[in-house]
Amino acid sequence: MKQENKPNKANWDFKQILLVGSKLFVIAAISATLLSLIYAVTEPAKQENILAEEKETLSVLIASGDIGPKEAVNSMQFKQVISRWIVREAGNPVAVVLQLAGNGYGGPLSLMAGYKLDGELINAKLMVNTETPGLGKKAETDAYMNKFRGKGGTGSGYPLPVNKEMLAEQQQGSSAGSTTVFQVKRPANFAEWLFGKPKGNVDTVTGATITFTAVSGALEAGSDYVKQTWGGAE
Amino acid sequence: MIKELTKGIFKENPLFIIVLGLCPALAVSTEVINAIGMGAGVIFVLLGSNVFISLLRNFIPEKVRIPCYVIVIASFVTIVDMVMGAWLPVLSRNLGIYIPLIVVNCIILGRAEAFANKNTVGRSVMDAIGMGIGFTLSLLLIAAVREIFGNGTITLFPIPFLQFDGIIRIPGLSSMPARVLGLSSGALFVMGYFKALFNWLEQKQKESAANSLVEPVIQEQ
Repeated sequence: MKQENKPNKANWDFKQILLVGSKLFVIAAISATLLSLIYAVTEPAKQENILAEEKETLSVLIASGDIGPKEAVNSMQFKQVISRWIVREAGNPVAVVLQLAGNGYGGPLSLMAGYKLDGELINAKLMVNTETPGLGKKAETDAYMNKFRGKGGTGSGYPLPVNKEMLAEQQQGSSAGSTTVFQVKRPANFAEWLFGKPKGNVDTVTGATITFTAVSGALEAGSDYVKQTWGGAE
Repeated sequence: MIKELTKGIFKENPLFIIVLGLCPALAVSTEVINAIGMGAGVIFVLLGSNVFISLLRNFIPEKVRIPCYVIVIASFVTIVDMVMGAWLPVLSRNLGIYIPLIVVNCIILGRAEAFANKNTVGRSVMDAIGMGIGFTLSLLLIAAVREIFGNGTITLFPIPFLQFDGIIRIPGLSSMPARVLGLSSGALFVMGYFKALFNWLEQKQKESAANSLVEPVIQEQ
């Protein structure tokens, strides 16, 4: 059997090629059929899960007010804004939740972000993503969004950080406000120099630059979209 | 039969002896919980692909066997991904990232080519479980070293009713970890030292076998 199967050019007649090819075709056809059948069953359930998660996130992002229906956004200028929910209190819009898209390290990612009407970010959450566990995936945590919360408004406060230099500056600034003066602490000994953390909150800046760029870029586009649409008026 | 189960743990350890599946192993060994997640995924997919390929071993023509394995493995992984996304959304969110990584894990294709296509379903199942456990244990070892020394923590499942947030912090280490171990270069360092250790253990075993004046041990296939 083994001898016959050795690829000897003279043995490769048309019949044999047809047999091998049709067997491969059968396997491919069966798995393709199976996959499409399972997709047809699982896809509606998956979409339902995504909708349920959106609903849950909306209630986390916005504490009060009536959340309106989901509206699709087709903005030529802000391509990252996919859809929006307008939040009203006593009939007047007070805030807006946007669904934003970005490009992370592992492919496309989507965010949901709540803004005040002057573009200030209330809170945001990373939804569907394929970022690296232990690195970019950390952006899913609530603490990650601390960098952005309360920023980006037209009034006082910081702009949304869009690169790590800005982030480091803002963190230095905020620690200067709370303590006395921001100062780089020199390592006390060799072991600390070798193994110690960089001092002055800057350690939170390290890691996952591409994820950060994707998230901050999307959040900034959202903020600009809100500013342009509602003119920064309260 | 039982030999097929135990060989994957040391003698033919996929990561340290055969050196298969390095890429996903180094990428996800940053935290202990990731190692557990990846290991569970690999055991499950390896089991499925070994069973199917063993069942189809007399149908698949030898000349196109690799495309056939790729179809079987990719279909199986996609089905697992779709089913989990639909009915186990929480599990899918935590493990979902590992599923696409498993497609490119050489262990799956390696076992299909080296074992499942020549052996019965029962032996292939044993092989899959043994290799899967061996891979998971090796991955846990790398992840534990990297996380303990690189971050000073051990990340496990959070248990809400015990007020346990899922992270064990090691006093002394968590304030001054050797950060390099947590980065990608650290993964290669740790892998290199473990490979050296396993080489040394293997060498020692061979020498002691040769010295004991019994018939020289012939490496089993």
